[in-house]
Amino acid sequence: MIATIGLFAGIIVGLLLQPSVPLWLQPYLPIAVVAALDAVFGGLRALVDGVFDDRVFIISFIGNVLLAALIVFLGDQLGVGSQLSTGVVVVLGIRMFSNLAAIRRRLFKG
Amino acid sequence: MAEKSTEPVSGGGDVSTDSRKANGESTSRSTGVDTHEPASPEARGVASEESRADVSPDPAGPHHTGRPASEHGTTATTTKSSQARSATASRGTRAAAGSRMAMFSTPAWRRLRRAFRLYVSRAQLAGAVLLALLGFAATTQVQSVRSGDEFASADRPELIRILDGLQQRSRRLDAEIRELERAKTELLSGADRTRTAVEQAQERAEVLGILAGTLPAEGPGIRLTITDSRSAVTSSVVLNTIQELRDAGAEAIEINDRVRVVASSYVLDGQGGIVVDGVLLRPPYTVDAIGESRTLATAMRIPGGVVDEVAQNGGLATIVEQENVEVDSLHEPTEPRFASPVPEESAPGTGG
Repeated sequence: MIATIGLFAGIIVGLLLQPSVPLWLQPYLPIAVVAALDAVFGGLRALVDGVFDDRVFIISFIGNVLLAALIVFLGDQLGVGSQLSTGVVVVLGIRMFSNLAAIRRRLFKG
Repeated sequence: MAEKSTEPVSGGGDVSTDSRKANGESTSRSTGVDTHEPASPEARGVASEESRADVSPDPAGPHHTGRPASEHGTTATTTKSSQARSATASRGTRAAAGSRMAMFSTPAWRRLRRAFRLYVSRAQLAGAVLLALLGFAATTQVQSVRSGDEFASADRPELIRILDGLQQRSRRLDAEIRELERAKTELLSGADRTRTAVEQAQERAEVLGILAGTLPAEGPGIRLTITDSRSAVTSSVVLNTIQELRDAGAEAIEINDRVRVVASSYVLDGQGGIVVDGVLLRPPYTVDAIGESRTLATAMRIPGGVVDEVAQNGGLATIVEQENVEVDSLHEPTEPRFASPVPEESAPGTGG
C-alpha cells in the first residue's frame, strides 16, 4: 500500500514540479523508465509467487535502469543508438508481458 | 520480509500439499475427493479453507491432510475417505456458494492482498521509494515529450534527415510563393484594367443616362413658367421654347415635372392643353432646364424670343434662375425596332 502511495506521490510531484529533463539525461530517461517498469512487474510477480525480497527488488530496479542506460550509451557510441534503444524496449516489453502472464496464471490457477 | 513473517498459514498449506504429493498417488487417489487434483480449483479452495479453519467442529480436513504420511493401512484410509466424503457432502452446498470467494483465497491472492494492506515494512518503504522515482521519471519524461521538443531526443542522422526534408519543403514553398506572387500581379493589373473600364463605362452610362432621360439630374438652371389663361399657347410655342433652351445649351429638360424631354420627344396640340410624348399637359406649363442659368435666361428673354412669343399669344412667361434645378421624371427608353448599330469595323469616324 505504501508502495502504491509512493507511486502516486511520485506522479503528483512530477506533475506539480514539471521539471525539465537535463540534456545529458534525455537519451537515457525513456529507456530507464521502461526498464524500471519491467523491474516493477518482476517484483509484482515475485510478490505473487511469494518469493519477493526487497533487496533483490532494489538491486533489480537499479540494475535494470543502469543496464538500460549503459546499452543506450553504448549504442550511441557505436552509432546504432536508436536501433539498440528499440531493441531494449522490445525485449523489456516482452518481459513485461510474460511477467504479467505469469502473474495472471498464478492468480487464477493457484 | 513481510511475507515471511506472516507466511506460516500459506506455507503450511503448501507443505501439506507437497507432502501429499510426495506420498504417492495411492493415498490421494484413495481419498478421491481430496485437493490434490489441480483441475478443480474450487475443491482445493474449500480444502484450504478447511485446513485453515482450526475452530471447525469437523476435524476431517486438517486431520487427514496432515497425516497421510503416517497412514498405511487400507482400512484406515477407507474410513478416512468415507469421513472426508461425508464431510464434503455436508459442505457441498457451501462449497458451491463459496467457490467464488475461494478462488480469491489462493496463496497468491492472499499475498497480493497482504501487500496492499497498509502497514510499514522495509519492503514497502523500498517499493515506495522506487515507485515514486519511477512515477516521477515517467511523468517528467511524458511531459518533456508532450512539450513538443521532438528534436531534443533525435540523433544526428535523424536531425540531418529532418533538416533535409525541411530544406526541400522550403524550396518547394518558395517556388510556390513566386508563382502565387506572379499570379497576384497578373490579377492585380487585370483588376486595374477592369476597374478602369468599369469606371469609364459607368461615366459613359451616366452621361448617356442624362442625355437619354433615364437618370434623374440636378444642377443650376432656370424654371420657366408659362401661364395661359386663354389656352392660346400652342404646341409650337412649347416646341420653340425647347429648341431655344437646347440652343442655349440646356442639358436636361422637363415639363410640368412629369415629362422628360429627350431626343425622341414630340409636342402636339391636345384637348385643353398640349401632348408631350403622349402625356396631356395643361397650363400653366412649367419648364425646368439644367444648364448655364444666365445663358438660358438670356436666351429666353432676347427680343422675338420665347417670352415675347408667349406675350404675343396672350400668355405670360416668367423666368426664375435657380442654383439647383431638379429634373426627376424619367423617360422610358424603348428598344429600337428598325435601327441597329453599324458593325464597328465599318463604322465611319471610329477607324481613326
